[in-house]
Amino acid sequence: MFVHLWLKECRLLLKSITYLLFVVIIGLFYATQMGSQVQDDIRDADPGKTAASHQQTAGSTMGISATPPASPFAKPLPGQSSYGEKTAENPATIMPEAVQSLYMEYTDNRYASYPLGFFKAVKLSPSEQEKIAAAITEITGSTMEQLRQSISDASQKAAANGLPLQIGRGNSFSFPIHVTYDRFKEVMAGVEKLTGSSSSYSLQHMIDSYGHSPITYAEKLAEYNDFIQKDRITGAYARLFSDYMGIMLAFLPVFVTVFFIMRDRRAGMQDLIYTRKISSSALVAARYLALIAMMILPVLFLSLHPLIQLMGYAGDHGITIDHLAFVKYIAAWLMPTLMVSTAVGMFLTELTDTPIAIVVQGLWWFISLNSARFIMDGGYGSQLILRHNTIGNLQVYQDHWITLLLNRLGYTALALILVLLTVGLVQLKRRGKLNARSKLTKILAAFKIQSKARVVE
Amino acid sequence: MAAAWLLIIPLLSGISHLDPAASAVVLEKFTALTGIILMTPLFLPEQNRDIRDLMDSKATPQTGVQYIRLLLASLTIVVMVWGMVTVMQAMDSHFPAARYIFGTFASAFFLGSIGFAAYGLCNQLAIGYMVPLAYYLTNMFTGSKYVQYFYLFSLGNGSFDEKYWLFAGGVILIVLTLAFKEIQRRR
Repeated sequence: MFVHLWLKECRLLLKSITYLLFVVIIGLFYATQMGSQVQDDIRDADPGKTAASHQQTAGSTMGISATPPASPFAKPLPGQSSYGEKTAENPATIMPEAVQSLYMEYTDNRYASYPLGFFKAVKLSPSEQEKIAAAITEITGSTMEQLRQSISDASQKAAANGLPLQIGRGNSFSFPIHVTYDRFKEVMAGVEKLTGSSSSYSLQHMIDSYGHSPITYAEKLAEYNDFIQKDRITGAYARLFSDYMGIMLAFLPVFVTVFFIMRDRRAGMQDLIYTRKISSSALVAARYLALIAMMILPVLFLSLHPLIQLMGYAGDHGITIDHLAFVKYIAAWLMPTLMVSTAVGMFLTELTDTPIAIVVQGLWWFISLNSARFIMDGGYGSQLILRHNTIGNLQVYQDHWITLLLNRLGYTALALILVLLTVGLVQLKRRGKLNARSKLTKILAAFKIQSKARVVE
Repeated sequence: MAAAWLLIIPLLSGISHLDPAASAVVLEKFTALTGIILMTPLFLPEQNRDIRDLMDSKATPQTGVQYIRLLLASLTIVVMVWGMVTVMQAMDSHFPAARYIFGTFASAFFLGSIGFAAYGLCNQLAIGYMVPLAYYLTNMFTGSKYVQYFYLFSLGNGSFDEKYWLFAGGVILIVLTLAFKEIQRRR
């Protein structure tokens, strides 16, 4: 009975235009974001074309540029001039670049802050500005006037040579540092209190933004070995695949779910379904599992594209790959995301008889996507959308394994709770104890009567 | 719903002390979504067969009714964008108001017209919302690479030319959709 119902729901979904559009959007998103990634990386693996590093690090505001990406398939050779840069707590870069940023923001009295991941400009009072100036003076050993003069002199000198002024490490002007790193952190903690914990001056933010150091040959080789031996190539690509697909699965399923449920209501099938002998839990479970199965299916299908290309490469080069890596990542990484967005859709639609779930999930998606913007290459947190927008970076993945596990288990539990609550709602509806649409209509009707009454008065 | 969204924006993102680039983000990426909310469901009343039959029996042409609805929705978008711009400027954000109002309206109008067309052609509200959102995501994740002149977030890059294309594209989409509906009705 249950299997029959589940199959029926799957067939109905297949005929749903919303589901077909979901498949098209997922496919297009994959094609535009990752469609040629494996092919390009394999092509770029030619040793002659090997660039310094494939690890892109966030470039600083001035002076230091991001390392160009290279193929992860290219084995690093000893004696190269550079192997790229990595994010690291390096006081030599953090201190001058952070104080440079602080000086710029001080002169504009406009401090960047990212609560919820969205930009917010913070303006300080004159007394707070004085405290910032004091912090800059202590760190650089120069008054604000002296700094202004030094920058002006450097600018004139650069202009005389026909060049624009460039500030930063290795350029015509760099902010002097007159304190130890420990004292610097203490002073910046005071700055952070003024500008806010989500400003650019929290220690973690300073490390992420300004902390970088060169990657050595040994480190680069270890990274390559991780890619080949531990990730067995497919693991690294499965994480990138999950990164992209997670963005879509955190939002699109709610459309399919909401309109699938509401279609029954529009067609007047709801009462017919409710009067059947089947239990509410079986009814909800069959629908939920059908939605999950049908929506994970195109994702599994898409994962075959990079997998087949990697199998071809591995066969040609005698490398062993993990053939099940994509399936494992889809099950453990993507499935909880899909489960939650589908469960939110089911629960809120049954509760309100409206498409409000789209708004709720859309808002959650928007916030989650933006709050993960500073951990794009891995790092993770409590976000629904987990980011790992790079090939490799296995160390970060391993370092945050527990966070990742708790995150996924937590969302799986949330999805199951929402499904159980949906069962309860359906049960109440079948007993005639819950009719959100009728209540909403009554509220609106009462509001209309009140409005008329006011007009009469 | 659109008004509620405008009220939520300041809770998500700062709207005060912004420079032109940061102001463009608030207007193009957030405020422009009002276009989808306001223009997509304009065929909703006719979704009900009884109402559709009743409307068809009237002397007033359906296309005319739709144009009036579109005009009202567009005016509402303009008022909302203007309101947002006024509040932002009052809160010490600096940007050229007229350019940003038209630029944001053009993005909102184009997004809305995609939703309007998708709903009109498929008769499915879900499709009406999903297609413009997919277009929005394409712009968000691939920039102007695929959409070229129809890039929604060009103000942030200091470019205004795309806004004329978006507005013209929106008008064409609407005209074609209403022509399609008219042909469908006559059959």
